[in-house]
Amino acid sequence: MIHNKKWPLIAVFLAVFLFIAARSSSGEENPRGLAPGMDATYMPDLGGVLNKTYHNRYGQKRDLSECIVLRGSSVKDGKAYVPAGGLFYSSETSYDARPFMRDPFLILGEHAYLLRSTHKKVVRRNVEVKRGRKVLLDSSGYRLWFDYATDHYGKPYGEFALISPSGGWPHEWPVSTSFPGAEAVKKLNLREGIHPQPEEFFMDNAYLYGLTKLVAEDIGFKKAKFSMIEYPVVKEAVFSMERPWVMDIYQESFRWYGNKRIYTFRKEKGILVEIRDWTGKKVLASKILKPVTEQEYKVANQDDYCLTDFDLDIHIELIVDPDYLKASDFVPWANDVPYGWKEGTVSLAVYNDLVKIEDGKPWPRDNRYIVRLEANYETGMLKRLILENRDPFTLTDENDSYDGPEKISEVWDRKYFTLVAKDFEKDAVKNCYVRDSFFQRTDNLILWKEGRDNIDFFIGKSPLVVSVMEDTFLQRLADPTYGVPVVQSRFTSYPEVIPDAKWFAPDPTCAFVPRLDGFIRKYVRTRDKDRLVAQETMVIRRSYVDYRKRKIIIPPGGLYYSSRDNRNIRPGEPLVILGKNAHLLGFKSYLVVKRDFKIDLWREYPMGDGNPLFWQDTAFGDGSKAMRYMNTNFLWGRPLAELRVTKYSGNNWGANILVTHGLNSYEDLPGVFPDDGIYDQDFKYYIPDVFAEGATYLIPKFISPDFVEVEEMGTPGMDEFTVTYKKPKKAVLQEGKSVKAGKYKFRADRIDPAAKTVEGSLIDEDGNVLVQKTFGPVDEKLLDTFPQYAPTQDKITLKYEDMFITLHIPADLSEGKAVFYIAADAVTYHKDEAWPDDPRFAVRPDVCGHCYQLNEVILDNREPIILDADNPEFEGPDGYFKIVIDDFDGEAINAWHLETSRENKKGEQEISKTPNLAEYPRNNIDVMVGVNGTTESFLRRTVLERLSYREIWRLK
Amino acid sequence: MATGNSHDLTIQDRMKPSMLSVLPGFRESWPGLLAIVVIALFCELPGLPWPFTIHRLLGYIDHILPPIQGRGLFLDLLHFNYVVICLVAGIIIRNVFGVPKRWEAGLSYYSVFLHAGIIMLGSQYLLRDMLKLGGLTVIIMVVFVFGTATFFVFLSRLFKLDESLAGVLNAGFSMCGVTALVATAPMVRAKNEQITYAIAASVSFGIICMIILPPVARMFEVSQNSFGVISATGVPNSAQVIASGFMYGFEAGKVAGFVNIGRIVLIPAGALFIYFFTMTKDVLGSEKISILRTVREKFPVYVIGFIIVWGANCMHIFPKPAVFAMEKVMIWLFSLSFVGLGLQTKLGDVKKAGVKGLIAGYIGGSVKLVLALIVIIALMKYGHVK
Repeated sequence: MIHNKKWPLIAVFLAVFLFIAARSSSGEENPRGLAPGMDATYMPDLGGVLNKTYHNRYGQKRDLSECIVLRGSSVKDGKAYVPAGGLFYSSETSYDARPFMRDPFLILGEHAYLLRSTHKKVVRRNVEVKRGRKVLLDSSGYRLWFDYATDHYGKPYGEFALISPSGGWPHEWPVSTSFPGAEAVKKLNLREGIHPQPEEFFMDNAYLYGLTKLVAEDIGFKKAKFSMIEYPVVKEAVFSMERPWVMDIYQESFRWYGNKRIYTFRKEKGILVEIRDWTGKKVLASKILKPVTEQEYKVANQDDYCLTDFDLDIHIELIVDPDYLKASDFVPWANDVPYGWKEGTVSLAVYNDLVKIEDGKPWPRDNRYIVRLEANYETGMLKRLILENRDPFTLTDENDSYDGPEKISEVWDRKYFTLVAKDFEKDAVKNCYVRDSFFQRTDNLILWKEGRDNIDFFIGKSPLVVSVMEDTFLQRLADPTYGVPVVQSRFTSYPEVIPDAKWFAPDPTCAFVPRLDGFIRKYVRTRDKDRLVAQETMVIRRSYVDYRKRKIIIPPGGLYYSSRDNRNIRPGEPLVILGKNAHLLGFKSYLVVKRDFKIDLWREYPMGDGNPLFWQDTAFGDGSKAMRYMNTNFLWGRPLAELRVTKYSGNNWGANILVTHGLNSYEDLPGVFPDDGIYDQDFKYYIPDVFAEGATYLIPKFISPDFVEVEEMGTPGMDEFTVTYKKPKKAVLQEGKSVKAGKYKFRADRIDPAAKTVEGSLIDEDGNVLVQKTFGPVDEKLLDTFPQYAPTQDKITLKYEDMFITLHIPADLSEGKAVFYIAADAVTYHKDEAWPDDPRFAVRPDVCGHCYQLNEVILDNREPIILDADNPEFEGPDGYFKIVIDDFDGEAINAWHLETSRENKKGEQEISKTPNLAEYPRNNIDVMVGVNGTTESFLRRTVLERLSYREIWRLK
Repeated sequence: MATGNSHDLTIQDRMKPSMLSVLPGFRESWPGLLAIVVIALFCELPGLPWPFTIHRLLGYIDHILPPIQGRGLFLDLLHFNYVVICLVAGIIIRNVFGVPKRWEAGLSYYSVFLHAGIIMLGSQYLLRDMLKLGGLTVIIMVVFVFGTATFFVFLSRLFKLDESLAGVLNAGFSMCGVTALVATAPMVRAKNEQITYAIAASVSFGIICMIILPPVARMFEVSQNSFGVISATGVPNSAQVIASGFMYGFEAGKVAGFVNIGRIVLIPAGALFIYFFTMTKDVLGSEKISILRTVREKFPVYVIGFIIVWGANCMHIFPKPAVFAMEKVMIWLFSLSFVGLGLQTKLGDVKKAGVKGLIAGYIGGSVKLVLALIVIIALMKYGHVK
């Protein structure tokens, strides 16, 4: 008989067990949209898994990539179990593939062209998602991910991603229901210059991304509800597995195509194309066609522009070869055009070897695999082709292989790959690899001797890995198993020299040292017991070797120390500065506004010495941020601009500034949305004509494919911040009571619960009142802008010399008590001024871009740092770390390292060193040490290259 | 007819033979040259969009076979790079299928490719490479050249070798193989068959070195730089020095080529040394050898080319793309050269060479190689050589 007291314990155990069981079983049910396991092996290369660059008919470059992914597998009792949808092949294009462009695509290793596609839109209403979860939107695997929520003025906003079945997603999208929408920014109309921190904060309840819309109803800290989510899907696609046969049109006559004749007759509404048999007497198919050109809208009426007959295995388009091909020196077979045609040649493009595939239906050659067609969320056109296993399967030592889908080949239709798993022990597998269609195989994907409890993997150099590995890329790159990977420099005659490194990122091939003792990464608690992570890093960027002087140069701003918490730091919250615990007391931020300026599209141009040069960045007046026009595309004929704010550290601010003119914007959103379901795609594109996220906004005047004229733009910055290295004391005071405050006394003179104010005085040793302050009123207006608004902070803070006395919010004065935090020895650091303890370095406080809070403290070198044989060492700020050049021959750095020194518990100095950061010779000493938002962002930009290089390094 | 009066010299007598004038004409050489190019093409000329190469085939086989500790058998573990593939392909064709006589004239152009490749090699070095080598390497080189030459004088007396044969063998084993050997031959009055014998001995020893040296060095974890020095010190022929270096790694190949230049520079001095210590007093008494003339005539012209290219690169005259292009050209030239070398390597010559001279040469060469290995590994361990 169980004793009664044990019941609660058993109940808890049962609840935990059921919860875990439910979690694990739900994970196995549908792995679509989810990532492979944390310990999944990433293998960049397998011969048959291709990466190709082709161009479409208009010369636009398309980077095509394939990959094979396995997710959601488990090993138990000598068997590997793979759920349905767990194993998939993916082929994707760098932008999108659309009909009538002769856009190339890879299908199981074969070069194909997209000819036709059928587009739909999916509408989901009333979608709820909890923070941190990836909720399924439909069984095919589309998911909405609520990554995280943070607040401004105590009100929540969240970052969301719409994940496709393969696990791919373009960006995270911020949405909130607590702030004025982006359109409100048009009323600001500020003059150019630096403004005191404004109160306004903008965040829309909708995120508009071309054919994808997220419309929120209620965004909370822990849960979000969307009234509507709409995203495009491709339901059907027709490919040709052959290059087209292109021939000039003969009017009122025919051209031979194999044993068929293709006649063309000019008609009022276009050109009548007839396919006749070899005698020319029997019409097999006919249609009036209009010529296809580069205008995108024609995709919406595909039937008007092509003749497709699956029985005849033929697809015909009338193409207008662009004018630039006429009499081209590079296309010798393109001749001039008869009949006075001025704009190009009209030809028949005849495709055969047609393959029609449908989303959610079996792959035509192998019904064990299901086709998924994923659209580019912005354009709605085909982005990715997925073939996933239809049924679950298991692998054992006896039945150790599972074939991939059968490819369509000119020579031999065969399995595109074979998955092999063997050498099972009870709950572990020790051997797993993939063999491609040319019988080449990967290395053993189980990299640990002990084996693994799953066979998850990702094979291929596909950009898909960046979003799929989002949850694990940092752990992977920070994995110390193989030390610190070093990439060998390519030595050049001419170093890349710049006068100032601000806004520049470190060399993409620079070493990343995830951990060096001395650089702090630890949990800290706020006054409200929220847990934050304080993180220190250092970066060297744009260093180079001046071979003429045999010196290593780090330009001004090239070496910086950075300290951040894992979110913006608010007054009262802890941070770490050069290893010392600090507490933020106050800040002074501003909004810098720039008006009527132009930004050229960002491009790198090679100089005569082979080094790239660019000059298009547009600096803001405060000198801490710059603007970059990153990318441009056309959407339904309208130029679309993608811009980014570049921060002092070289990071891009996370938000993608996407603007265009002439498409639908926030105000065009219908008030009533259709019900859940799949609808015909109407190609109503939504891209805002104004950008406003938090404190950063941009109102474009004119958008062109190669420059943007901006009417007004604003982004925040920080002038100064104040910290103390002594933990502020908490004091609960009743009216008339006082407490020691540094060398003075602080007295609560009057507490007025009705007015929600507290009057206080600072008194010296002789009883003289030095300063008086009325704290509050802590009314709704104050709470509405707390804690981010500096004037609000001023209302609850008494400042006198180095004393900061702050009334703790929320101030419950009903019991006649008020809580204060009393901080002494406050130090204020000003932007661009010398760091007081080490004037070689300057202070660069930075905000994030969304708000005015302290995001990052940067200390960087004011003058160039010169290292050579005579001066091989350089100490960081306050001697916090040391750069040591061990072996430099004047042109190549053969050995160098970083070291830190700190006192251990016995009082002895302990020196920690990185490995040699030039194990392969380097021509710079760019490096990233430690993990915080800054280095994470740099790593994210190069994650594919770095993950791939780790494999080379592993086999070194 | 020459009478001792310079006015009576014929045009041919007055003309100094150039590198090209001693080579067969194009009309008789083109079959061999074409064969070299075609074979090299199938071995692999990097950068050419030609997929049917042995290198690719081996890579493909590596990808089919289960990897050994993550590495492929041929390319990773056996280091079948373009040098090995070209050389082995040439040797196999020569010794298994045979080479038509029409090819022979063209095959002699392998030395032109080699020398042109060495000139191009200059573009891959900067001043730092020389500084990295340091004075110690130069000392090692000088000591080993003259030390081996001295040891060989002792060996030739021990084995009672003919002094002309001893002279060419000495040049072949103590300096840079065939080049030094051919340069020394007229001074020591070597006959054709003695030259062939010495070449066979030196080349066969070089082949053995090429096969054995890289794996042995890997056992001792010799650095790329050190291996380059070992290779240039211990392996007799320039081509084999470079081949063995590149078999170990690209850096080792570069260093080997560079250090070998130092050895080549020593040819005139080495030839004089051998002449004075090998020839009998009778011969020495009857001849007057001009040191200046020896230096002028025996100094290899391509070394000057190498120094010019290297100097230009040190002054950063070549833009970056040109340096990359020169690297590719260098690899092409070496590929062509090693195919030619392989096609000229008759394994049967080793048999013909007889025993006495071969033993003497092998003993001398082995002692030099082992000593070089020991000395350089020791210097590497103590940090004097990187």
